Amino acid sequence: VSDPIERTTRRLQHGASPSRTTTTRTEITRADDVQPIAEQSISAGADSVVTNNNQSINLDLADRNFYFDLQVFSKNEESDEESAETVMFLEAGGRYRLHVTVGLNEYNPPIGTADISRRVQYPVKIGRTLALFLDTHSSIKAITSSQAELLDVRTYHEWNCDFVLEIDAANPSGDITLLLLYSESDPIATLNQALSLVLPVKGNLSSPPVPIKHILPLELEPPPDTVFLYVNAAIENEFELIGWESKQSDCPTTLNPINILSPIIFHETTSEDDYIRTLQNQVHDLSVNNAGNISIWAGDILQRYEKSCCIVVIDQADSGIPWEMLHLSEGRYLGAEARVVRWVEAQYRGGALAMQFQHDQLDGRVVACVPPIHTETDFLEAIAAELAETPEDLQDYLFPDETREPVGFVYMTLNGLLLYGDEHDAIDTLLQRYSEQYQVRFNDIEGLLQLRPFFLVSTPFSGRIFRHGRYSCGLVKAALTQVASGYIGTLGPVDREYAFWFARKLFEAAQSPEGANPAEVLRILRAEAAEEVRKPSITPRQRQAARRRLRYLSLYVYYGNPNIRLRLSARGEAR
Amino acid sequence: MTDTNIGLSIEPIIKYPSEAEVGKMYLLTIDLRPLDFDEKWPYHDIEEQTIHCLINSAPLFRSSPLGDSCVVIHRFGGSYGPARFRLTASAKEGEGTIRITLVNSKGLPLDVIETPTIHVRQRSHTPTRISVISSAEMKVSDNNAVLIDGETVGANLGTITVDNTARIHGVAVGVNLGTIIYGRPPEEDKRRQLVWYLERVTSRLFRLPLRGLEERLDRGQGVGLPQVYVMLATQSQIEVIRGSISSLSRYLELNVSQILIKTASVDHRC
Repeated sequence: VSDPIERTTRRLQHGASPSRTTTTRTEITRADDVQPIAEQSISAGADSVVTNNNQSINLDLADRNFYFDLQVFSKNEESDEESAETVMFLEAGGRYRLHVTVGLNEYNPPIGTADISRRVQYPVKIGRTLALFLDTHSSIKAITSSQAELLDVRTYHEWNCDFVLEIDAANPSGDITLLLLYSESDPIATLNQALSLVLPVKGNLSSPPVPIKHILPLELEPPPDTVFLYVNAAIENEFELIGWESKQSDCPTTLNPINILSPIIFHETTSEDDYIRTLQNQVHDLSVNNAGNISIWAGDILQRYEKSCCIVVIDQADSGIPWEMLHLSEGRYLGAEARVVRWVEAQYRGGALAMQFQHDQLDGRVVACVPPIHTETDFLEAIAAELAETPEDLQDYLFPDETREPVGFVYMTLNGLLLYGDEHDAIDTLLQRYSEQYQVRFNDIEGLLQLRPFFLVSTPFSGRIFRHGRYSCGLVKAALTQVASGYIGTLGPVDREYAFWFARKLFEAAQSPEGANPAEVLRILRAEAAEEVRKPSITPRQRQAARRRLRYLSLYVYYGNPNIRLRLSARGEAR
Repeated sequence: MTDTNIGLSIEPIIKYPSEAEVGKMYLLTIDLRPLDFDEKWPYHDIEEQTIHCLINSAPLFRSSPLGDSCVVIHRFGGSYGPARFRLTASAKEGEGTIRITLVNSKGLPLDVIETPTIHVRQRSHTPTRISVISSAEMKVSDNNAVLIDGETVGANLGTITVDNTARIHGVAVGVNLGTIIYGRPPEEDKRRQLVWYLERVTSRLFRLPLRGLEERLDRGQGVGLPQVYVMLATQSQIEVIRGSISSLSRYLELNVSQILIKTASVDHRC
């Protein structure tokens, strides 16, 4: 066996940073020959010297470099025993322990011993605390924990951390790169890349999995008066809020986390008014305490944009918080001062649905699903609504018919819960509260509608997105996924009087020649109710009614295009 | 909301712990690989697109970004690196998912990606699974990169031998460029600027365009710039070992019909 070692000594002049010193050492010995086949060192301190075997290494350790040291050992899958020797190759399906040492000691290979090892050492300057992460860029099937332990490295001379790796048996790639990352501050803010080690894999190479394609509509731009409010779940009952003005690119405003709100349970014995009042008080407390700086942020947004502003709430935490109810100051509410709409991710025909902002107009026939005995006959006749007898029948009315214009508007109001059927135990409490439950599905109609209708659903919690296990569920998400272009529902109980009143107001506005923007109709109705509450001239009874109306209206939420207009004919026939 | 078929096709590469231990910290990385690049890149006047990642990991984890929480993808078929997040597992056992909302530079939500079910347990019994893994090798570019004065190395006074399988990652390869470009040993800020520049150039030119030579050469994996670099940098060949096939088996992948020499095992960089 020829010996490929070349011994070269080279003097390197130092640059402008005398404290920086780096050594990369790789020693590899072959399993059976046990002779070192290569060793390499590079160092550069002030007047430092780079040498190879048997030469002294002059390192600048004035700033106490810490050395990262990596070694990989194989582990027996059954006994969990491991090899005494480090490995040079990985095998598909094998388990290995990556041993990381951080310390002040520079590694020196044993002299005159058959050290079968693969080590890489790399010095860095680090602070008092250290956290390690392992990142991989190949077919590592699994890594056990023990990552990212925070440690005060300077209290120890040497510190060890192990990662146990399992190589994917089915899909190994040619090489595996183990990338060690470290952070030296607490809280961890940035990651530095400490060291990488590339090991070849022996095994059957197969094709990588087919990538899952996502289509991102990056070219879409919201209007400049659009402001997004993201609600993300930080931990249980704690939410992270991010405000984002569309006219300021790449400049989100991270608000402080909001701790709320133990969830309000709508028990069987709780009255609807009590539930809504408690909910309103909780949101009001957020405002008074300026939790997470939300009140100041919202006030600033409204001051700068005035009423032209459109706030898009993206409640990825499924918090169910009626942000529209957020009290700002002096009788002003967020949902009464700005068009507030919501977005929920939905899939349609396999493609992602991006939020739309174009100024469209929606018209078409009206289909209503109301209780058998109802008081809305005159109103429904006036808008020439076709009556679907049961929610199950609704789907049949939505089928395209070439002889008739398509359905543009769906109105549903029932005594009881209207469910899609995927909610399962997410609504256990509600199931106890409401004895009447109806299911509506869109399975047969999905994908057939060229014109997707607008839905107004006035049943309890019809605007709420529920969380069942790992899935978001509920009627609103299903409708937007399968058939609806826009959707108004409520985050709480329904008062039939106000539900009817609101539907009538919306239809009346839509009968005007220019049609109606549903988000703007909601805003105006809330603003009128909020103004009435503070009128000194009204009676206590009138004030109480206005207050209730404001509460119920603030629970109605709108999902969809904030710029769409609904239009119905004056006589009631949809155009 | 309407159906949309426009946009950029991407492949998300998300790495996360599928099983975690209560209270421990883990790494979540999100990278986006454009599937429409080069001629298929749909944005003629824009070379890069920034996509922000918003994380919903409750109640399993508390997440915090490690650096920028965005991925910048470019028209040449890659990104400038993944967005990284620290995950701290909850103090309670549980199972759930991590939802990642992809947002464009204007704040518009584009898509939501959800991981498979993740378990947080008192003690992790089975190894933590890692999700889709890219086989692409990543260049290491650390803040503690080697600082070697370019003049001496650039004078080509000798060679550094690297053994059969060892690799040096980072900017050690390009440090002599500091003197070549600046005409003097680079100061720290210049050096960092150079490192950043080299990273970008490496990312952009990783895959060598070959269409001008012959179109079919440009199909498949093509030729990566590192391969070209190694070829250019090789000045001589050194015989490593000589013997029978059985004694050389560790360097070879034996197949019935062909013997593939593992290039990584015989390649010497001078």
